[in-house]
Amino acid sequence: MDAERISHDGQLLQGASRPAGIDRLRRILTAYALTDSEVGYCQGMTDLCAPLLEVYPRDDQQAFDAFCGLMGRVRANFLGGMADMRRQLGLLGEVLGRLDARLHRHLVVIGAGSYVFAFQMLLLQLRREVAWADVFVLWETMWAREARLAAASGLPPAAAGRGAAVAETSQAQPPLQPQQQQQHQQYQELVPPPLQGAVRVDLRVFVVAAALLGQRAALLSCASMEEVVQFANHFPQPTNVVALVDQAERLFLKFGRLQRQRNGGSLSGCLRGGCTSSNGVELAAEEPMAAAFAGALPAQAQPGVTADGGDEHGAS
Amino acid sequence: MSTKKRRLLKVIILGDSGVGKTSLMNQYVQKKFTKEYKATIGADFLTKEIEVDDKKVTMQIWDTAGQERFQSLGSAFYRGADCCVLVFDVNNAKSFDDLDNWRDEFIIQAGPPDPDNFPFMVLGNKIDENGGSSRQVSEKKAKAWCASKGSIPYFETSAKEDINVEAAFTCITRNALRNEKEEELFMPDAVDMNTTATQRKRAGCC
Repeated sequence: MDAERISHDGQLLQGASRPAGIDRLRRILTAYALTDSEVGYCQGMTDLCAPLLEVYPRDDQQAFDAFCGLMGRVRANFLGGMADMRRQLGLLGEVLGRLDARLHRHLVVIGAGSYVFAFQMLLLQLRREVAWADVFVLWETMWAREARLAAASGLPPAAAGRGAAVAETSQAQPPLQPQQQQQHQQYQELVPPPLQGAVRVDLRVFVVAAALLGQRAALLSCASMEEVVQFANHFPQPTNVVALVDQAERLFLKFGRLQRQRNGGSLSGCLRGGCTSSNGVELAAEEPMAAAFAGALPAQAQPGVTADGGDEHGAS
Repeated sequence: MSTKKRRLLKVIILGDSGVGKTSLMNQYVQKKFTKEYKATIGADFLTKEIEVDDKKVTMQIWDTAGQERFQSLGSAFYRGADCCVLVFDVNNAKSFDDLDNWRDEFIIQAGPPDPDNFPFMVLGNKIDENGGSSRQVSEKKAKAWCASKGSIPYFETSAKEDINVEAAFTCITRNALRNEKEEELFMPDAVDMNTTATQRKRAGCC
């Protein structure tokens, strides 16, 4: 475990308090790896855990619980084969292809159409791209909006569909210590049951899409895949992360409308429902939300999704 | 001289996480070392313009994530590579054992036309650590592995102390340029991907 390879962001990971901060990170990540052996430890998890140290500056238990909750949302990102990351990259390409064909076409022409350059943004929920002070505003706003969209549509947020795997793998583990048992139980409670056949609200993909669209001119001026990779690795910090999530939500709804029109107003396997968008516009009652998930795969989808969409609703 | 075309050489650095890939790249290109590199997620690259044996070369050095789980995505950047640098930590036997996997994976993913003669290079890094007392892989063992894989050049390096870094990358450049020349001699009309593809297609049709 390379907990020490975390950036010097945040008060608890700087100067004299850094060694203690890194010790805490290591404890929490070790406890998590014990709880969830399928994921174990993976690089990038330190980036996700570090902000939690500051939210709970003294309480490891609370920080651990919060980290389990966070991992519940992004756990699939770290599973072997990176199938879910491929799915998200594919969805990102589909979203930009639908909402900004010129930009998407440009990226495809210069060889960046796989969107692998956005891998870090997606994996770490833009943790390295936004200012340290903005990380939690971004994440909490994103989670709240995702929950609202999910409630409105009757569909699960991105976290769903993973409980079974955790339960299965945990049975093969050696007996847990009382404290671990308690942590494990609390973790299990955070895991919603898998929802077979449903699709998810992947707002984070739309947040990344919004961030990329915010840098549209710069991306259009990139003449090669290499330039895009360098640009993405030194991505300009978004100045207003709440506005970024607002934009993501608008993109989400617009993408849904376009998908619905394209599919003639019917999408099999999706649920019906109405909702109000963030700017208070009442949406049509006929499955406006369901259509927005047209790019998302069913929860039980198998790995090996192609980078350009990959499901029955994928762009041709 | 000034009319000579500048060649672009794409170099891919591979190896387990924490062996010092990012540090080697930064020491070579930017002449600096810090212990504070974040774990590489995805991939990044740096370029350096050099002149070797009277040839102007732009080195494009790709640094990829070392954790095995990320390997399948890192390979998106292997295409078109002119050489591949395999790095291990001399104080970490597993990182040496994993060289086989990294080499095989690179050959599968990058698909060089002549894998047996593709220019690889092995760097045993962190030779400075604890004054050499924590070493787990001897120079002899590393050289034997390199010899068994078709005489891959081997350098012992320290990105931290800047030992052998420049020499290793200069050697890499020479080997890649030599390979390029041999390829040209071998198939004078098929130096770019499109020509090769057309030829292959033609061969398939007839």
